[in-house]
Amino acid sequence: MKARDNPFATHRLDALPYRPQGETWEAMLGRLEAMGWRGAVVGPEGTGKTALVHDLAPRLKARGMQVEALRLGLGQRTLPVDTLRRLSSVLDARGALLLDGAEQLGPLGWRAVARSARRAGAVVITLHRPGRLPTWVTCKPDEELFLQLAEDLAGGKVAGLDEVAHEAFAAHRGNVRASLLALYDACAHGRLDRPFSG
Amino acid sequence: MSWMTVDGGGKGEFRPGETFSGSASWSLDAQPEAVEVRLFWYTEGRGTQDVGLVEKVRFEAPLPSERRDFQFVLPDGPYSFSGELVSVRWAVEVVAEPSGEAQRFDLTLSPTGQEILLGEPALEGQG
Repeated sequence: MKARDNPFATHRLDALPYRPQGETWEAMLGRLEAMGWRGAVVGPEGTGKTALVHDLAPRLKARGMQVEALRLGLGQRTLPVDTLRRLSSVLDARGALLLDGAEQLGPLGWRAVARSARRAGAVVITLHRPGRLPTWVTCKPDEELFLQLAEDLAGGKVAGLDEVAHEAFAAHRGNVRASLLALYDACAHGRLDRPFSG
Repeated sequence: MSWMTVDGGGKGEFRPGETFSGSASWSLDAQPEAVEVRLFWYTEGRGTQDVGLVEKVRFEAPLPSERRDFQFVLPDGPYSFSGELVSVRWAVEVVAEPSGEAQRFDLTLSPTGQEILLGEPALEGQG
């Protein structure tokens, strides 16, 4: 199968919207507002934290907020000084900071970010474990949701998908993204039939 | 209802050095600040998506409804190709600013004009 035809190609995974579990976006935003627009999205890798923060941005913009979205790379213990200065100058009461991967920051790095964002109207971070900000949403591995995502990406029922997906989810311990990439490999190597719709 | 289109005069297969002669048309609800036409390649596959902007043409303060012609000389590469892990694709897109409304035209770029398929045996007498 050509890479561009693989239903589990990364550009398709990146386009998956966050699917709220057990509550609506309105309810989630209501809780965040009650928390003073400061909260953490907590969960292990590959459980939807990045997708949630990505989909939060347009909802904050629709409320008139200017969104600054940053994503920290592995081992990034602090933000560059010029980035911190810029955040200090742009994050006022109408400004929102979305910081994906805040667990990467060291204690001093987090303190510097918190200082730069002290006047911000909203601050939402993602973490692997609770801390730094009160937990707003907890993301957990969910095999049923993963199977639904896999089926949606495949374009419907595909022979062998459930079995391969179950194996992938177990092998990657609930990391949805890694499990979907395992399905990419299964498609590329012919372990799954060509997807069909309906 | 607003719309945008971009095309290459019915041609979608190109060789390096050939000229892409296209036209962009649009009918927008509001006057755009600018309309930009971009020639770029991008990857699709297992890894992080990569994009390379090669050339762009910018039309400042155009009318809400207009048609503009443009030309790009296509570079030497990368070629359009597909393997199991990655595909490289080419496209021309037209984008209205600041609304972000956009439309895309896909093309192929290679010595034969067709997408190269990795792992496929070469035809007799070629390569």
